[in-house]
Amino acid sequence: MELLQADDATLVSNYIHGDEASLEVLINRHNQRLTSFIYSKVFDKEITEDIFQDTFIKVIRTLKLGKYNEEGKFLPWVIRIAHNLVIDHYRKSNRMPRYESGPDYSIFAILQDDKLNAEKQMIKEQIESDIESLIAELPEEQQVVLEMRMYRDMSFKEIAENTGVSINTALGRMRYALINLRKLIEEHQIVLTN
Amino acid sequence: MEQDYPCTQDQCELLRSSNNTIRFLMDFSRSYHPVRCGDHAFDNNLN
Repeated sequence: MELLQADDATLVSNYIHGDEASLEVLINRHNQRLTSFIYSKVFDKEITEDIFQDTFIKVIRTLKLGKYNEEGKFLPWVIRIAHNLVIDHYRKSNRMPRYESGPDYSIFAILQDDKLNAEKQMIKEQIESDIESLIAELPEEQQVVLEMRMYRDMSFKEIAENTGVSINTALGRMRYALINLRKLIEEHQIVLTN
Repeated sequence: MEQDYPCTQDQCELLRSSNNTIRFLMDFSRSYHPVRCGDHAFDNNLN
């Protein structure tokens, strides 16, 4: 009964020190949340079961090898493992999900969700990091326009004035920046979902 | 319990069938003993 009321950190510590029952409490406690998270990415029962199982095998190995970093919270850490396994699954099956919001989908739309829970927040940060590294690969003039438009919310008229080019050139640079970003996403097989 | 996602029929079935998965994981955990060498532990069960 006490175990059921113990917080995650206590259960993790108990488990590392040999109390197997603490692991069972942890798995049961986060079963629904983790299952729902994985299923929301793969939409397949069997794959969800496989990834759930593989996630906890990694958890068990990491904890028993004494490699767990207690600075982080347990559930976000587990979700992160599951998220990486989902990405591995799509890489192996070569069926990458794509985030689309119409014919001219914006990869930035997914950054504007203000109702994020803990694990979505973590994934959002990973996506932001992925996008930043992709933007860094663009030609500099495209980076500048993209940054002004998406991060500073400047109009194309303002961008044109600030960069000393015509509005059409600014629009063209933005268009090529997005085309190139999509190419880079394909090349790097990056999963952009939240 | 807090629900962050709506529970579809598939998800409900998954939760109902999760006992087998949890039993497997507990068996795996009980049988998994990394090799210890001083303060270090090594994985002896990579597959």
